[in-house]
Amino acid sequence: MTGLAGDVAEVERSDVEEFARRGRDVLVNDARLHVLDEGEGEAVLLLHGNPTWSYLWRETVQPLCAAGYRVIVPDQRGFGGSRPLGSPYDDPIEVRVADLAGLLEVLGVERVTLVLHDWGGPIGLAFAAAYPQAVRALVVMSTWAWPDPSPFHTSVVPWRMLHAPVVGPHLLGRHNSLAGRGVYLSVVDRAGFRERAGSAYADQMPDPMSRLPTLLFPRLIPVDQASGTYPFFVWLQEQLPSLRMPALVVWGREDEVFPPSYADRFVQALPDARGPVMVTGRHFLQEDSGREIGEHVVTFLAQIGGQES
Amino acid sequence: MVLTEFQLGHVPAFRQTFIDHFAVVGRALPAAPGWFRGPTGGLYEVVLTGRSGEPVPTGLEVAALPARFVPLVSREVDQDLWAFLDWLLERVGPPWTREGLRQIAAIYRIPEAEPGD
Repeated sequence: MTGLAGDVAEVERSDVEEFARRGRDVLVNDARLHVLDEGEGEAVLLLHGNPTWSYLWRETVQPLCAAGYRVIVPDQRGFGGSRPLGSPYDDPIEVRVADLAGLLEVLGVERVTLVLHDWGGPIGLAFAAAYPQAVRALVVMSTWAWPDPSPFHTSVVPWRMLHAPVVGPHLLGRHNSLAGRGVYLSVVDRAGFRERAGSAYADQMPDPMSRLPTLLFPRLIPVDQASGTYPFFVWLQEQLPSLRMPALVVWGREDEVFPPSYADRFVQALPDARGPVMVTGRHFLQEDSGREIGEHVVTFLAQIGGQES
Repeated sequence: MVLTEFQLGHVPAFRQTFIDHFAVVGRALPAAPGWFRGPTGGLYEVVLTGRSGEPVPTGLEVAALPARFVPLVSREVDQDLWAFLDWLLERVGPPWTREGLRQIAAIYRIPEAEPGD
């Protein structure tokens, strides 16, 4: 039986490694970013948040490629195969927006549809506000773009204690609690997740220093006006009415981090939004409905005009 | 180094706890580090750190001080750090409590926090 368990682990590792090998490294904004770049056609970029990497989108890529799109899936700096953070002071949101701008420039992409999840939301929406001519359409899921926090993010237990001073470096740093059990708790089909993804997220962060971004991102979520990122989110909220490109809102029915009411809020805030399309999923809805999400994006892009001339 | 905290002031009450404990005055860091001995017998040094432009102390480092040439045992370090967190949460004050810490530990199945560990 020991041999069998070893074989399963080997297969899991192999699947993850095989996925990672499909990407390549590019130098962007003075950092090495790892990016999957597959298919041909109009560009669609899938942007993950915390504590995941491009692997989160593995089931979403295929339907888009099959429908004739070029699918770009970067690992954000500090995650997946991209360069680890060199310093905790190297991680303001604005740098990640600049990473996105630099990546598209390096890849020669002039116009892109952005599919945004979790921290990919504020980063991608800020990019859309700064470079509206570069954004064909938006798809947002389980994210936010305003300074008022969700009830989950104001809770001391289970959220704020997890990344509190000194506590956070122990739980998220030494124990890797967010990339490990945190993701597991935030999917619907946990047994299936264990089988399909295993420790694909936790294994990407093998030591406390590599887990630093999983600690820093939670601390960037504003909980009150004294939060350092509060002005950024005030600005971002003010930009939403100016994002006139077509948008689709997709949400997990079981999402406890950003409740489904947030989906309605996006539909109201974005001038040309449709949806929300509800799918099976907690916060990491791609783990339960990854392929279905890809199919929804394909349908949406067909509705708004398919391949642009 | 077994634990590094860069942003002690992320929650000001946590920084204040160390200001009070180390009697920090103004921007002057203590001349000497602090020490604690964990339940496994491990000895640790606690160093407050500063950064230009930020309130002091900015961060905190915990370094293990094992016997010379003796490797650390991670499980024991975790147990000792857990005791350090327990000490800290006893002092920070509501809503940051030891009970909240234990709830988090139960949700995330932190081995050293499990009863009987």
